[in-house]
Amino acid sequence: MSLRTLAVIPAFNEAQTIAAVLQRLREVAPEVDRLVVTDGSRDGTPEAVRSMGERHLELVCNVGYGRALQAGILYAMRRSYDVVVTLDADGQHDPRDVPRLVQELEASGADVVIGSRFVRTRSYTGPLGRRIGQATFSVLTRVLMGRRIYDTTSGLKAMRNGACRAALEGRFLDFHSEVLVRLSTLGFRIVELPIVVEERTVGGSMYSFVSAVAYPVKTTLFIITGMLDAWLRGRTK
Amino acid sequence: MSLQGVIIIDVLAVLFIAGILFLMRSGWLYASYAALWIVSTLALAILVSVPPLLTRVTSALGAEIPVSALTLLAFALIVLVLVLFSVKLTELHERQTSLIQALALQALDDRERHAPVEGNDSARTSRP
Repeated sequence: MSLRTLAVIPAFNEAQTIAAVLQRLREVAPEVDRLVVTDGSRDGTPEAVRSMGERHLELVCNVGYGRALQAGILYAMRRSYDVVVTLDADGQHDPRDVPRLVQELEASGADVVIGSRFVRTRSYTGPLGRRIGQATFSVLTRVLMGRRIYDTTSGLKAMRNGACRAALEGRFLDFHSEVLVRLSTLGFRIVELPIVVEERTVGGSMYSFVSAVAYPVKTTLFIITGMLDAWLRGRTK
Repeated sequence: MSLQGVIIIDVLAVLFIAGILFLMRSGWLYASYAALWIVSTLALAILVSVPPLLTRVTSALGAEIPVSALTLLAFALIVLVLVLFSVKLTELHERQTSLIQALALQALDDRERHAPVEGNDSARTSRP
């Protein structure tokens, strides 16, 4: 792997899982640097990361998934990394997929590679409401981008430096459909790579009932404003 | 509107403006918000105190009676102020988030400067 890569792991109250994720990542991808963004965690996540001697950004208040990721990406850009890989701290993603994503980035020449739970495989099920939302945004991105992205809500993504810089210019909720539509509108190439995810066994989802209802509305608004902003900035990288 | 009504509204307007000035003097209200409330209150007081003006505004707004026109204007002002406050809240939230990010990045910079290893170290070895 010739590209300097930083794995950015946003973590909000993931003390029970973060150590295992980091340990596994150390073992299977030692060439990948790691950065945990502890997003206002109050359950000992920063202490768990610190005790492992891992690099971490400690946000004193919870700023949300998208802004926590942006903080990590900002760090990566300041350190001139070529690629940023984002993955979840809850242990659902297999750290072995991190080098796979980077290799796909190099091989395909794409700007963004999404670890997709739905392209080719249908292994991931999840709650019905979430699947309906994922299908809706998959169709919406198809309409707006002109091509289908099967897994718009995947937290496992690899992004080249240029796409990261573009992603820092916008405001995003969860780095899902809204960032993909924006990057696509700006001319960045996005591909998907099949992955298999585990259901989380510890802790709960970051989405409460209220946020699950508000999520589609907010994400749609972010998509519309992100597209408008990208159009106004011009469709060039 | 009756003379009694006009006098009551004007007295209330004067008291309200005095209250706004007191809040501003105490540092509890920014000048820009104070200006917004004072200008709005003065406009209402003038509108109520000058009957021909109120009649013209009522007619221009398509209302049948002055009270309807005044209610519509008050409602418009409230909506405007709420939007303005939403904008200000968003601005404050953005600043807070940026500060939190900057603080965390600065702290990590400091740690990396003083402690040699956190996670993998290729970033530091290749940094200029």
